[in-house]
Amino acid sequence: MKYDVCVVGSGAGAGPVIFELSRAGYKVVVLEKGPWFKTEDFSKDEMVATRRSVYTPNLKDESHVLVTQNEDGDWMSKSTYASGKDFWNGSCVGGSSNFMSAYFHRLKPKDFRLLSEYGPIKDANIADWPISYEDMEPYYAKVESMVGVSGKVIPHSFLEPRSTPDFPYPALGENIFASWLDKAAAKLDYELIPAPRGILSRPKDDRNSCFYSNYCGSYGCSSDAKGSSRVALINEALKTGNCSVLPNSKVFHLETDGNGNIQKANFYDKSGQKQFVKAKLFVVAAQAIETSRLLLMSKNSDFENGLSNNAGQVGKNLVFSGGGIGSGQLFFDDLTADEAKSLDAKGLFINRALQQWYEIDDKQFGGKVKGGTIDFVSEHANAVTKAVKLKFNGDKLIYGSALKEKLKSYFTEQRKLKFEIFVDWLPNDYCKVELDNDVKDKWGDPVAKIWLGYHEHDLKVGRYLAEKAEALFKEVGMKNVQSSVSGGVSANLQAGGCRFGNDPKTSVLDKNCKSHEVRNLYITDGSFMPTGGSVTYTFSIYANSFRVADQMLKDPILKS
Amino acid sequence: MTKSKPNSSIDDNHESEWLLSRSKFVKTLVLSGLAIQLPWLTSCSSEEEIIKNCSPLTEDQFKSVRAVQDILFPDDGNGPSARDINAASYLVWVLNDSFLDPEENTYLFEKIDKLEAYSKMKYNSFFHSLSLGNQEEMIASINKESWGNKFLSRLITLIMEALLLDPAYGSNTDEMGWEWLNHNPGQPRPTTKILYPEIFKNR
Repeated sequence: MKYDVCVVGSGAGAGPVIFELSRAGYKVVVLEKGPWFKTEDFSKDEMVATRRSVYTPNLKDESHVLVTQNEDGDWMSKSTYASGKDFWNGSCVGGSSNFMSAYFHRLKPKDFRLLSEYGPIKDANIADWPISYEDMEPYYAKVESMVGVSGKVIPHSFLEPRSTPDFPYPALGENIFASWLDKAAAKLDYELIPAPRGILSRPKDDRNSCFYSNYCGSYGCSSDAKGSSRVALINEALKTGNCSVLPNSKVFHLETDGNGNIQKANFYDKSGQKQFVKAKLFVVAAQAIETSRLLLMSKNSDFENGLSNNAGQVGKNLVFSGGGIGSGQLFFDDLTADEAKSLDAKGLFINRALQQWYEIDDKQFGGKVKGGTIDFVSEHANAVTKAVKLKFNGDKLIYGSALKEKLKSYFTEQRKLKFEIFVDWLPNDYCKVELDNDVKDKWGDPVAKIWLGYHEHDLKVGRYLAEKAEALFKEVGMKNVQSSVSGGVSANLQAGGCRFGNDPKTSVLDKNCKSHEVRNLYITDGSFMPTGGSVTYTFSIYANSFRVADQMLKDPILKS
Repeated sequence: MTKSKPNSSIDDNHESEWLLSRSKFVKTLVLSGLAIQLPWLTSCSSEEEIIKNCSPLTEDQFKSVRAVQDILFPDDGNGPSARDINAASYLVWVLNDSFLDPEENTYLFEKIDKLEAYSKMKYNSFFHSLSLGNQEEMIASINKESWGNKFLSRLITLIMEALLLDPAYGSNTDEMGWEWLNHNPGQPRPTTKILYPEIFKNR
């Protein structure tokens, strides 16, 4: 059977395309490398969610090679199997959107023209987007409605233009700590805003609202309130009868016909046998790193450097969403009994953010520079993860009664609250994806070699924001307030590698995320982003995928 | 950089002289398939059954590891002890896990052997047969060495899992770890079909 559309991957970049094209009557096949966990497979079992490789591949079977710079300035590579630093995140139907925390901030208009607005920065490959915020706005609104975003819009200095007055779902329930932050922010003249979440606060269709389980990020949702691609879009696509999902199907090569068209997606099935599917259009949305890897692996006589890579741009300018983290503690002995009880209430959200310094105008930077976002969150409830961290006092391992006393105190006498900083990760020549020459996966294919270079400017912005956040925590009266700003990355917050643009010499995709070189190839995960803004990417990936789906529906190849 | 799992290197020049018989490894391979097919709690519910039918460790190795756990997480009147939460049984369950990278468990076997060899060299006795004072002195001593520090750290991590994971895994007896630390495990709790590693089946 020849399908109309073959989609590689099933996460946030894939879901909107699968949904829209299935609903339009086209036959869509989805090739997902991981298994298909259903809602009933998810529980709050820390063993499954975080202690063993269940939602991610076993590193012995499939690893990455990470390249980082040491203190001497040398670039050192090491496989994740050797280091134990797992770079996978959500390898299953729905991808990592099953396990996201779902902080859904929109990009701002200036994010689409970072180079024009703020100028070049030495050693950073900044580029404007070929589309504007106005092109994306209708699709942000669509995601808010279709996937489900809850929150409350309030005026602030960097509120982006909206076609709707508010989010379609009211804000989720909040922990008392949010009100303490509000009071402290007022004293400091901070514009603290409610943080929107891709989580339902009211039922929608077959999905229930959030039940405040206290286990959100890293866990699959048991009420389907979290707007994963699987429940919000793929389940709906399946109802059309036009969508087929093939789990455990690892695509390893996209085969072209010599005329710039993909004919087949070759994949390994669960038993390791080679299979293929044919389609008119192919969509790759395997998450940025694996998407670049697949294109690089799909080299042939027409594309000697890899598919759609005649300009040598595939894998270049990878970006991450990050910047720093910080924390502070509130001890129950310093609170009234009622305050302590309210603070210790499980499951309610903090849902506060600062975007007051999304643009920084401070003399220490010598003019206006791009700033970022600070999200305020609870420490994750994962008990084993917390307990294991407590076995050290500095570098010293503790055990026996000393360890037990520390555990008892940490779990029962205080709560730790955290903040997460997101700056605009500057694309650079040392943040990219290649194929590793030595390390292979279990099928014998080269693994992705990921360079994790960062720009010092990011750290400077991160430290500026960390000081603002620390001041807020101290105003609340928190103790042990601290922060850490670094070029470390969160593997699940990745984008770039196949940036879109108008010039085929400097970009892989056109403004509609269609390959400049391959006539029937679209890429709809975060790979398209030349820059990522100062927020997490998932909301924008969803919105862009809806935008591209509309363009695909006009593609004459699909109608042929 | 060379390919090696963290904590897995043998970092003592005299390792080969100290290592004891590896015959138990054969039993490990046989048991690894068995453990995930049989309900662990029913087939390995007592210490006698664990030692006789379920453990890739010798009886002396099992008792010595348990004695180490007694020091790392003692019965001191402050919450449950390693024995209360079945930490030794949980460790054996981990050693039987065929889904784990074999190198991880090989590492544990090697260090358990090394502990026993060290005990025999210094005291001419299995670790579990030493006085509590000598056991504590020996743990403090190996904690100062790189291999010992990493080994004890790994054992503590497994004790933390035994303390705070769902009792369905055979530890955290009667939820006493959760109760002690006032921990809310969240709902829904896992059913048998979606416990690790059962969740892999048919997916």
